[in-house]
Amino acid sequence: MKKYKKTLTVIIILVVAFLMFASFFGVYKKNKNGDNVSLLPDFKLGMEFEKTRVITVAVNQESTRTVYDAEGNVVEEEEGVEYTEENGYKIEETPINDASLKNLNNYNIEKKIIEKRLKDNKVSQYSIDMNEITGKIKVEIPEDDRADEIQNLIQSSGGFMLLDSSTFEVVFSDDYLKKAEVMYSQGDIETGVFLQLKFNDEGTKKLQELSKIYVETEEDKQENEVNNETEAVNETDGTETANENQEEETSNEKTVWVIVNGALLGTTHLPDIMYDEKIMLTYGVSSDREELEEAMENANEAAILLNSGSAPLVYEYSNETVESSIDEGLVVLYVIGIGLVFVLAYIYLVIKFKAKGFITVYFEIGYLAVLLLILRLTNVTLTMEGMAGIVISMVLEYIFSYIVLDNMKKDVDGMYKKANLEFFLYTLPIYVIAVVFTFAMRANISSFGMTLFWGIILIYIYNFIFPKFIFENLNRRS
Amino acid sequence: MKTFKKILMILCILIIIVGMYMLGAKGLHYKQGYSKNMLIDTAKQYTVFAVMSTSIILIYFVIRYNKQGIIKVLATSILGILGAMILVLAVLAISRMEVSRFFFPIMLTTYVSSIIVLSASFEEKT
Repeated sequence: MKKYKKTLTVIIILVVAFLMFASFFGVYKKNKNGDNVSLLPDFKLGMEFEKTRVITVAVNQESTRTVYDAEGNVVEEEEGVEYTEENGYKIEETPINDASLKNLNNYNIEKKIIEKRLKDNKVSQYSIDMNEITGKIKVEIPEDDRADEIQNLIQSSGGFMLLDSSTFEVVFSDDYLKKAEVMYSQGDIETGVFLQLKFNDEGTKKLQELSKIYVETEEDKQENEVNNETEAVNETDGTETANENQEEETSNEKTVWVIVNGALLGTTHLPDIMYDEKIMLTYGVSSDREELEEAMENANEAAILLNSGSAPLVYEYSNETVESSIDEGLVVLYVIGIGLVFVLAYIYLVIKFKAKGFITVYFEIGYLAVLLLILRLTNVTLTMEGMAGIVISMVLEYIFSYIVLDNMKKDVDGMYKKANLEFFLYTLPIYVIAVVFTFAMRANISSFGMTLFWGIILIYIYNFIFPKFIFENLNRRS
Repeated sequence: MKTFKKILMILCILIIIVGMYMLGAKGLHYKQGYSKNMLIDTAKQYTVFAVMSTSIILIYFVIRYNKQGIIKVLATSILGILGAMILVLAVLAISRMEVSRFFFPIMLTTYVSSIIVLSASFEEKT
């Protein structure tokens, strides 16, 4: 029995040592080329530790220049001609963004639009900074494979318009838009991806009126039928009469151009895209998974842009890639500071509890190693807040060990159970914080919750598997 | 021990008063690349989660330690949590330490630490 206990003690100590080694130095395997390849996944670090892309969104300060001749007609500028007032020309400079529009309210609208687009696109790491005087917005996002997509989303202009195809007049716009949603329809063979646009009461009323105007008339139908017949005949005759008829038909038709986010989706009769007082735009109908995924992506992007609204000002965009924004020197300083506090705390344990204290310190380091391993394996994003979560977990583990050592002095039986209960009651509120913060969408908040969550779970599991046996054994001996 | 606690309390109150005065007069000292707007925006994101978790914790404290007096428990908890956060803010204002991305991890650690201390203190009295 004694031999068994000794063996088990050695095994536990060795396993913890192995875990420490694996966590702090890594586990590598040589690949075919002879290079060392890590068997453990890398830490997923927050954007403050990695390269970031800074997108600058600046209010356009340029003006458009219009030249008028002496009679007041607009002149198209030609090279080599001096368009001055002495030569009889009148020059008018019109700012792209009117001065009255350049105000804090409009700057905030643009900022909210960007934030909404990022949130709707489930971007978990970003920071936005706005200069309230100039309206310049700086958006910082991780420089990864999604960076281009996100930048494109920020730069795109959102909007929905219906234009009369003959007069090019805007007959309906996104001013009435309530919500844009991506919808799916599963058929027997194919699946359809649609963008559904819901409008407010005023918009719905206007849409109903328009649906009576931009409709396929009986005359059009008859013409279409005639055209079809003529086409069929011409196919055999080989004449061009069908084209002539078609041109005639187009001039009689009342159709609208559908423009979504600056792109023309097509020309149609309004009832063709209306369903239950909503507009349904088809983005794809297919049985192919890849095609459907692409259609979903496009429809989703269109929905995000439409839901975020349109900017009241015209902006200019630029971007640059910057190295880690964190001050490495300060990080080192904090790590040394925190490390020193822990060293002092561990020295206190050794002085107070002698050999048992020394063993506890060994297992404390083991705890940190296993926690880091778990964070690697569970792919938790480690942000600055996540680091704080690790430090708090270490403090909690210290508290747990202290309670165990303190209880060892008093009781013999049930010492571990008592310590568990005491620790549980002391730290129960922290579990609430860990769980609540885990559900945050922003990586910096969820990182704190997740590290704390794993840290707490690990305290129970790790202490039950490793130090429990050794401490109970030591307790019985003493 | 009681005298020590009292001295510590007076010291904390003094730091808070001086810190708040400094905060009002000079504001926080922001690191280049980090602004007041960013601080407020990030604080807003935290608000929902901090309020939610604090509310649950306060309810737990009131239920578990109701024998110690509901109002007393509530007042001690709220003052303890807010006091700790304000104390750290005051220290930052007095020391003119640069406010950067480290600000929220520091505040979170303070928040969690204050709750652990409160919980332990209530538990000891039970």
